[in-house]
Amino acid sequence: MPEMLGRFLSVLAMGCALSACYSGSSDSLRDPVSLEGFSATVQADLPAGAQVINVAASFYKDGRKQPLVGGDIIEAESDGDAVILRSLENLSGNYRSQLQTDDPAAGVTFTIVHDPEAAREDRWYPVDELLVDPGPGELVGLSTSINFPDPLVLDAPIGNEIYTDRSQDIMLTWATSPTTEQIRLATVQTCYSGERSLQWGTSAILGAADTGSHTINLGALIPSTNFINSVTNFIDQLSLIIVGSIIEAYSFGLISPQEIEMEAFELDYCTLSLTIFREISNELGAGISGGYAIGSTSDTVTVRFQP
Amino acid sequence: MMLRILLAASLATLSVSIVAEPNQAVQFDHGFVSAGYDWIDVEGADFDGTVGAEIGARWTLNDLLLLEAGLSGIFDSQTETLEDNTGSYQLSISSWDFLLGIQYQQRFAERLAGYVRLGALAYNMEIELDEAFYDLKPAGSDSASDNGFGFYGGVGATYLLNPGWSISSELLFKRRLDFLDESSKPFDVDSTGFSIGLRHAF
Repeated sequence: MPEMLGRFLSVLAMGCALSACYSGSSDSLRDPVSLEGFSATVQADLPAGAQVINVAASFYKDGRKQPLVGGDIIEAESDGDAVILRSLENLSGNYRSQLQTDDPAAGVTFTIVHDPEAAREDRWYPVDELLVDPGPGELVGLSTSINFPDPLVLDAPIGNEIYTDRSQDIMLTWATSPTTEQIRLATVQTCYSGERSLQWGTSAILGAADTGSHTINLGALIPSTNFINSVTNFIDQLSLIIVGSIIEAYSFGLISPQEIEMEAFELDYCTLSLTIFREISNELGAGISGGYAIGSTSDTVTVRFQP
Repeated sequence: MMLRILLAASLATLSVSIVAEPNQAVQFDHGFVSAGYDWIDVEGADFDGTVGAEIGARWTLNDLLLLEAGLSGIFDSQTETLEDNTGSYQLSISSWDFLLGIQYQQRFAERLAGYVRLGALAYNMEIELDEAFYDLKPAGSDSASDNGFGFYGGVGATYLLNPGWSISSELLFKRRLDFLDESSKPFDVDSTGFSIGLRHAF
């Protein structure tokens, strides 16, 4: 990831206005965060062909996202692995990690625990000798589990397929499954102009019906004129965090809204990483009154636009 | 490791005794004090420099070699305040070191001499942690201390001011081994100090 970041002279955060460029259906799996009590927005994704689960989570109190400090951590546990979720930015309240699995059917359990030493395990000094423990926070003890739908594998397009015109369509196809509750498409576009590069993402629900195919117009993903960010709600953010884990993109750079002079960017070529998620909802754990717990399987293909 | 260092120091002292002329008794040569600046180096951390000081004495073994003992210290060397998911934290280190070794001295001119120091040290070091949690939980402090061993080596020069007094300038490296050796992450604390001092022969 640092190498990728280093290549970016500018990583701009923006996206296509969903209503103007690329629109999706409303999300039927994700309930809003409750304004009272505790809420959780949790997702675990199993990419096709991998034995690694990407996990992302945020926890809320009275509608406000809660950063975990002082030894409170989110642990994710699979059948054979347990990890601590780390936030990409201190106090952001957005946490993510990856963990191994040999048996995805066992699912993943997220638990907030107070483990002062584990929370500081990345520090250079011995935390078993030097430790300030302010005690557990209010969220400690919350827990929720996630199961996965059937695996999703893209049949088309093939990787590195080249498109030359914005009027072209990209057709994504995959085998359907009765376990599907919702299909989501997330994209990350990276465009290059000499030494410069731009990266942005979109995330949209394709619907509850698993049709096994979806067609996108290239121009909707890479417009030729100015466009502004639309990936501003937390639901799309969490999905892009997951996508960022899959394709090692700088996903958090995609979120805050900014305008970009696309006309001024004489692009040489773009890469488009297209990820289809098969999503199911899971019941939230005891004491959690709002939000969602999504289990998903996904597959990603990267194609190229070279006008 | 500590045993090896003590053994090495003992052997060095023994060697020095052998080198000393048989009929020449070990005699007190001079006392010294010095003060200067130490750069602290700990793997994985970035401590700032700090003032250091040393006081000690040397005994003549022969024309070239002296046995030396000294007490030195580094005081309150701090890291920057670092931040992570858990909180913000800053560490500071202070250490007292007892040095025992030899000094090889070579006179370059009537008043000017250069020297090399080498020996073992025993340390008593304390590390203090100040940690805060972005005002979401109460801040606090903790500390730990440990005794251990290490070694040192240095080079310097002296200039004779008069028959009783001389000034010195030296560069001295010290390594304190395995601090908090019973913890999960023992670490070495190195310091490289530049100092200026005074010697007085009685």
